[in-house]
Amino acid sequence: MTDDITSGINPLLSRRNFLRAGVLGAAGAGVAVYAGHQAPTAVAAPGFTPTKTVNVHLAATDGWVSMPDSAPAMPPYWPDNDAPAPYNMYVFGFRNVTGLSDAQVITQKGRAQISAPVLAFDEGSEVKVSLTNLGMAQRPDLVDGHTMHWHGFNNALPIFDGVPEMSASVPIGKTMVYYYRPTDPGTYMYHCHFEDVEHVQMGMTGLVYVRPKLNNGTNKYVFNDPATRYDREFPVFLTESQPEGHYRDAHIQITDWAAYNSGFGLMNGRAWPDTIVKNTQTSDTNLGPNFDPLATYPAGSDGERLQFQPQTSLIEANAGETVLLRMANLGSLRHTLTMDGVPMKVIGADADQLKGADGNDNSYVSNSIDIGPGESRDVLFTAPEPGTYKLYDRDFSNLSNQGGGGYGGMMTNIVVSAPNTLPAQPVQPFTPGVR
Amino acid sequence: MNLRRLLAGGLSLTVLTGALFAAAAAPSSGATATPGEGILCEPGNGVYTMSATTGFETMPDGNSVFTWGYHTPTHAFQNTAPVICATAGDTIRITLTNNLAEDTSFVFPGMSNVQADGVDAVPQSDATGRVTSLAPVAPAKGGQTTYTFTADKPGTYMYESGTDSRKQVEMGLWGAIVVYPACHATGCNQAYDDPRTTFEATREYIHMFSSVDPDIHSAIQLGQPVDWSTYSAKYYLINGRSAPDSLSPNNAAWLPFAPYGSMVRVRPQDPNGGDTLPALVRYVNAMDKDVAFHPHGNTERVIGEDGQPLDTIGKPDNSYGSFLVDIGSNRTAESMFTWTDQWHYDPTTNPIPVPLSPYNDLIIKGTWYAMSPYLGSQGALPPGVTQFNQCGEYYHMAHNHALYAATNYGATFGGQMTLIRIDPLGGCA
Repeated sequence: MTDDITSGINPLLSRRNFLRAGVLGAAGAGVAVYAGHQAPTAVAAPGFTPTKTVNVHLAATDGWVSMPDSAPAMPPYWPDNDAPAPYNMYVFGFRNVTGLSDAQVITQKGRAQISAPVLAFDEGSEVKVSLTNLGMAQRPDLVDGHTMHWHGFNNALPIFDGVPEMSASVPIGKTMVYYYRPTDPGTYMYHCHFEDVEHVQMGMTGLVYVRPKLNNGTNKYVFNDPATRYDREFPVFLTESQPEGHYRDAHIQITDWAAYNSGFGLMNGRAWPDTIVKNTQTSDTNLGPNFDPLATYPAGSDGERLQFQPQTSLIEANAGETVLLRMANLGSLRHTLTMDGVPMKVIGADADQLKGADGNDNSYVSNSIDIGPGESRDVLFTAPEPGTYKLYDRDFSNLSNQGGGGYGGMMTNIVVSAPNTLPAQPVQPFTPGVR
Repeated sequence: MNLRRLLAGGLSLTVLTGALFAAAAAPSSGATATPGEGILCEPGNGVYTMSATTGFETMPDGNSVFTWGYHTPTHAFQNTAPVICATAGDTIRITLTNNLAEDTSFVFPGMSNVQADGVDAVPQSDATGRVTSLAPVAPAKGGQTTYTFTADKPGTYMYESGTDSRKQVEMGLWGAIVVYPACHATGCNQAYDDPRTTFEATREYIHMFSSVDPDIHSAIQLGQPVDWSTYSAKYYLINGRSAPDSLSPNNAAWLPFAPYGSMVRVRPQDPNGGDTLPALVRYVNAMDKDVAFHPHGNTERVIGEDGQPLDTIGKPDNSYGSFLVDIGSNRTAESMFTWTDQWHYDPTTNPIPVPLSPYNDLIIKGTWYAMSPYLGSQGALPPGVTQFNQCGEYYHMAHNHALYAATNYGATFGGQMTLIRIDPLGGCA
């Protein structure tokens, strides 16, 4: 267990810093101008004491995943004839290897997953992310570095922002530690920024949640505002997969990334109907794990086919509960998510509560959530009467698999049960065992 | 800036960022901008002359693209129109001479009392009723028309060709108009009438977005038919430049066709040698697609869109924080940017609490990294790495997050991408 409590890591507070912070705090209170963001409350306290220290170990490598077999073939790009059964598409990705031994970590080379593990942290904690570059099993010639870019992190230091030209990246066989003190609750993303257009398309993308202090470890609020309470939360993480690029990366060819088109629209790393393949792990998690990339599943099972796309998109709730959808988009296209007949309330965007500087409530209710590349939305809805509802992208070009007939891509089910059917969903911190 | 040190540091011409070019920044600026960076207003005091003409622009990958733009008193050729700055209530007069082989014109969305040669600038039709232009034209091959309008409301606006606009705007016939509130005349630095929109006087920037399909430009150059349904942009520009040219200073001698840089430069929010007000970034999107612009480093607060403040005194505040500023096609926005040294890390008194790998355990593309994670401090440079860092300042990226648009013909670290530079307190010595 690496999720431990540490206190007082920076007992030394220099006189200069103390004075600086004090002056700034005083000035900030008196100046009636917009900050680019709300005034950071922690500025007066450089002698930061974290509520806890969370250690995360991520590994970056390549691997193979499975898009729905029912999609029309697009020779030679998809299915990829180099893919080991039952897989059909080449990817890069992050893996959560927290708590594994070095020997175990090395065995994960060539076993990437998409989407990346969901990271969930508490405001006021400190986070240490060790990123190990395992290299590429399929492409031993490719000596790319990898980085972690926490997309949207406020007052970021360049060294932990993950842009190679502004800082450093991690070479094969090495590990770098990224350090964060999350102070602003909301839904963020992370991705590799090394040769970003390629590494993001290849699958090195995931979600980060920052939970507010108001939660105090057990409550369920999106922001530090009692009006943002929810009962259950689910990730709705959108990406698009361009099979030509994946094929060319696997086969040592060059892609013109400016010629962009989307073959599969993905929700949490899977295309419909795989999006609703249900958890087989215990149902005690809200971070969306399904299959464990470390496990061995029977040949021909869903577990074998989807173990490197471990996150389900199935949304389950009891009627009347408040459900939080943490939506984010790291594709390159806009998407408009709709839930027929169920109004959705957008309370946050880009990890900012929809509030004016004067506290004015700018949240809104809609049946269509517009979400552009790199954006996030915090969306609440009240689970309606029991039944199955669909959440899907109304841009129908992302609602098919490789342009085939029927529906595919960015679609999932919301299954509503009678009140009190499902047990309460616990608040899930970052957990080493959750992949 | 120490010139000798800069040169000794091996800075390449394409990425020079600083005050070396102060002397070249001839046109006056709306604010007293940091030399080399910031918005450059076309000199003219409300009266401007420009001639539509053809030229070429050089892309960072070496491709030379046929393009259209304007000849002005300050520039032989620029592939977007000059940035025009006004104070609310000003009357602006632009005399357009047309040296192209086809008619052209200007439209001024958001402006009032628009006239062309003294008559209302209304859409033009031929005898059959077909609309030929959205405004009276300056006829091909030497024609001239003078447009006048009243810039009555503060904000950021586009002006663009109203004739065969799909083609002419793609070719470069468009620009931006910045209207300051009336108090600008008496020295305020506000985006709108609300004093809460006050920005740091030397920190005003403009990002004007466009894209280029070189095949279409080539077809136009060769007089071949153009099939717009095949449009596929390969270059994505900020202020007529794609990265890394976007980082070069204003009026860089090696980019004569695109005089405006787009690097944003701030200091930490701190009364002790830092900024005490936000920087203002104005966004203008001339593309047919939205721009999903992602400033690294900190969330921005969007305070205005399409010339409308999101906060007006006495009304609820509709401004919003956003780590991704979404600028719709043919729309404008203004946002405030700050960066705060939140934790005051210091290598001796307050070190970053994780071990930092030695550089031989990292890939150092170098370039803008000071080889030290601490603001204002520099570390030893690995062998063979060229570095552009001046005094330990920070750099963050800001880019279109439709990542195909952050490339030059598909090559990464290009396109609609620029940097945010954060100087240490007191600036670079």
